[in-house]
Amino acid sequence: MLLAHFFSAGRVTGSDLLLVFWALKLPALGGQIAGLINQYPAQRNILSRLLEPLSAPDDLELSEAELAEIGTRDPTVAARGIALEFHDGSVLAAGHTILESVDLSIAPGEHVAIVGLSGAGKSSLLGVLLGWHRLATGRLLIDGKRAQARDIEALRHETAWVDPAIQIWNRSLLDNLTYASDDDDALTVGDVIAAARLRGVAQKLPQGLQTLLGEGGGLLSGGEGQRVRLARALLSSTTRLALLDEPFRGMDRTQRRALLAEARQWWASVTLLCVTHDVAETMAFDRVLVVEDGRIVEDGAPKSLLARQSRYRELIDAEAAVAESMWQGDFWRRLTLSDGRLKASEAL
Amino acid sequence: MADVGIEKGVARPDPVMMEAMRPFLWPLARVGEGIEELSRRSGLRPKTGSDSVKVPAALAAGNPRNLSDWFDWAAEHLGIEATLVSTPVPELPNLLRVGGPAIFSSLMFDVNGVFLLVGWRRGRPLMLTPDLRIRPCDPEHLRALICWPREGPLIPEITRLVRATGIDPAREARVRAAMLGEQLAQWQIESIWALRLAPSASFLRQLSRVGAFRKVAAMTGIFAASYVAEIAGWALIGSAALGGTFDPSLFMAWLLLMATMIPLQTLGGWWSANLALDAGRLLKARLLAGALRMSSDSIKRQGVGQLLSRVVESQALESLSLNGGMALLRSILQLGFAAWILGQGVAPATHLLLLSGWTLLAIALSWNFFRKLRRWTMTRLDMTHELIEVMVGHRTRLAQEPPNRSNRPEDSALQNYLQISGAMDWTSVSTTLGVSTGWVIVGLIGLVPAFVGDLQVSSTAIAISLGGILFAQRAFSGISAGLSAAGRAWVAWYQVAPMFHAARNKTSSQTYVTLEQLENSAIKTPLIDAQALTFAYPSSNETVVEGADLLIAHGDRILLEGPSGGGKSTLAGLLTGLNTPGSGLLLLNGLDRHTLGDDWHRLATSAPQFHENHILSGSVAFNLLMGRQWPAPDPDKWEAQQLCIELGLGPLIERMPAGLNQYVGETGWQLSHGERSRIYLARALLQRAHLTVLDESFAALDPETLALCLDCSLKRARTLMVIAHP
Repeated sequence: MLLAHFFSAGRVTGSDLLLVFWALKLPALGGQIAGLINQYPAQRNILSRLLEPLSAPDDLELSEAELAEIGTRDPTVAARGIALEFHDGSVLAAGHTILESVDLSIAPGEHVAIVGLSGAGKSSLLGVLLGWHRLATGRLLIDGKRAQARDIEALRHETAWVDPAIQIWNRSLLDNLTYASDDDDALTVGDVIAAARLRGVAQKLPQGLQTLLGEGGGLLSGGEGQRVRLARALLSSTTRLALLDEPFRGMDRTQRRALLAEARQWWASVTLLCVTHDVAETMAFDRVLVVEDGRIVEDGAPKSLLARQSRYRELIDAEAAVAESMWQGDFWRRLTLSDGRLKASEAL
Repeated sequence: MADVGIEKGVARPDPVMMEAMRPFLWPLARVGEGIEELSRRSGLRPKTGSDSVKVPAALAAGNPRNLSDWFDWAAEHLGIEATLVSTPVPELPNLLRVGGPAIFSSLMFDVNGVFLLVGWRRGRPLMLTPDLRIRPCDPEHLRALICWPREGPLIPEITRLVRATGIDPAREARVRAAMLGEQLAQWQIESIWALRLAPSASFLRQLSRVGAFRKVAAMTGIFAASYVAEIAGWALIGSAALGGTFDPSLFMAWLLLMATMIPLQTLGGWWSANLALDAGRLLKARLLAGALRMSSDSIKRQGVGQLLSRVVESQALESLSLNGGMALLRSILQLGFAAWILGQGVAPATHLLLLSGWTLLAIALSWNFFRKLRRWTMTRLDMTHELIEVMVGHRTRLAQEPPNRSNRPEDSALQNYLQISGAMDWTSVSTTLGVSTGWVIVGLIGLVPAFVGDLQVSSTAIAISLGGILFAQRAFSGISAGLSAAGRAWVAWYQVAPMFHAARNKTSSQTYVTLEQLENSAIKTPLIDAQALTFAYPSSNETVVEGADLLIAHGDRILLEGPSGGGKSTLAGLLTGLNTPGSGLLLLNGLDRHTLGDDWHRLATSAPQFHENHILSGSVAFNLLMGRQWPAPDPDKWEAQQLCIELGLGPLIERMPAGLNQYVGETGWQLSHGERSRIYLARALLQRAHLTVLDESFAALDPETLALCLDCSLKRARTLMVIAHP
């Protein structure tokens, strides 16, 4: 192009410098455009992935009115537990049936223990009440009304949940305790700390209640973390349903017994479902469910189940046998570590 | 593929080839000396100094797994890396050409031995002989020797086939070779160890070995040459324009100059891309090595989000440091040329003064931008960390957080972030645009005194000055971009530095102890000998374990009880080498931690508590056998399956469509609490360590399953310590 211009003009003037300058800029600009075009697919992919969450289904947001309604419920109703009814419920996950033929009726304020082999579906039953699973068939009635998704959502505000899978945040101990409660419940923290046997823990931590607990509660041991989770659940005053799933893992037998009694006393008038492997402790309950292979195979008072040949009785016997032969066997060399000191100890 | 004798249906290797290669064979007893010499001759280690690596007697037997193990240990001891590589049979000649230095093991001679390949020159491989000389050998002999284990079994059949078709005997050898090549196209040659610089070696040495410094020097030369060509071109066209005449030959010269810039720039781009690839690869290898060697104390208290941000920042470091470095290099060159041009122009002193002053201004503005950028990056990383924590605990949040409080933390964090981003963006704009555009104005102002004075200024000089100003403008925009990229790379470096430096940690044991020796020495010494063991976490001053005395004999079954928070898991960590005791003695099989290094974990292992143990994304078989060896040979997989059935996981494996190969983890098949506990238990038991510690492994199991699993553990573990709350 430049050649043509110069040959036609026959001579070169100063203004031609300008022409050359801009002409030489063209390749650089072309390079920039090429680079941008190269980047376009990658940038478009990034953008589409960033926009993905916008098209995800929304959480059910309860309206202001519904929230207010929960807060100002009739005190007599508020103090009582939830009434639950399952009619022929079943739960599917990834094409597999994890619960089926669930027919269950729980009166308000009833304390029910749930036992069974691991993997039987006990946690899944609690999962339906928390909203992790939906009933594939059948109906769930809460307080006599057929439960929609919104009702499960509203139920969460009145549920106390204790489970080793609950996250302990990397915030102060106090923040972790008050996480699940409304702001005005914070005043009863002292009672809850005593009830959950957290006094020693709070004392041990370097900054007391303000100590950051580390990622996932890393600063605490397993049993101490469980007590924090229990305390978090105890603190809420709007509880009408308590769901406990292996709530006392990591603690020794005496502590487990004491804390179970404490929890049952605290939630005396609340509907309580407790999944546990401590089958012997469930004898104190009024009602026990045995879940096996996704079905509720036994349902009744512990004493009556014990009286006859039942799965419950087999589990009780198995537990006693393990305690007797395994843990008390004389091939064990027994050591105890408490307060940092290691000592040999004797069998009970 | 010369004469191959076949006797009784079994092929024998070519005796000529065997005799030719025999002088190069190193007996196993001298492998240590050989590997040391090889690494020195190929430049992987400094020429002087020797620390001879002793080969244990058991190695002379030549068990391939032991040999690989020993090569790993010896290489780390010498500061290099021996990687086991495998190559498809047809690719072997390629590997021989570029793969040196390398070690090949061979079982073909009467004495088991290895061959050491130094390199390749003029079409022949250079081998190191046992009398420490480097001699070339016939490439075909070497290839035949290495491929023989694969080819040997196939030769009788192929020879029979070839002879049956009645092909001309002269071509028989070629046809046989072609058929062999086709048959073996899918097969791999293993037992080749390539020697390389270890990722833990000095990073500068690694860079120089891939020729990074040479490439940088070459690229600098190319940039300089292209700028010279550009300036010369302008000089030509400028003189033509201002002179007023049009000279075709001058014009052609100018065109030629412009044309030479094209291949120069292409070459520069090629080298810079190569450099980026090599440097990126080295950085990634180093960071991976560092990530695996970071002490567990330093990462235990960190969350998923913080670790993830380290990984993300490492990516940024790689791209930004190279781009920023190159941009800065070019800009400095351009500045230099601009200074020279301005020196030829109208007002040299003024312009040079202005140039240096403006450069200082650019640096100062960039420093200001860097401070804001650092603050912004830290805020961004904190937000990432919190976001990840919330994502991990999303179920907790759904179930427990009161609705009226639900978005408060995020709202305030975003508000803060917006503010900081705004401040940074404003500074960024003023830095990049202001510096380059402002320079033009300042430069033009610098021209004014020349007009005011009564000197006769020629238009050429003015043109030169203007050219210099424009050239410097390019330099300044390059400097701003380069400094900002370098600033971001510097911020990313803070995140990545711990991993980078951790790569230098030595992990292997001081002396090599084969598994057989460990087995044999086991009975006499106590397994664990601990005296006055004390441990306290660095953050608190309360001792968790105080003055513990413990003697564990082989075959002991220990039950450790105690209140929660008493320190049982910490004691388990001390015994398995994850925690370092503050004071006291701890011996495992008579050796302490400093002697055994990371081989401690081969002897003592644990199944940590539920919340500290993880199912990784992979197959069930991977999750079970990762503690032993992966990829796992079939006998190991079979044993894993048997163990699962013993632990009561049989029905689970039946239910999963892919059985043991079923993908589990976050996005795979979801396991229940009890199933997970048993997989953790199986993982620990499959390691067959001398000491197995089970930390609350039975807590999530119902009584019947518990009885099964406890029984199984008592049978399988050699020495067992169970932490439980019966």
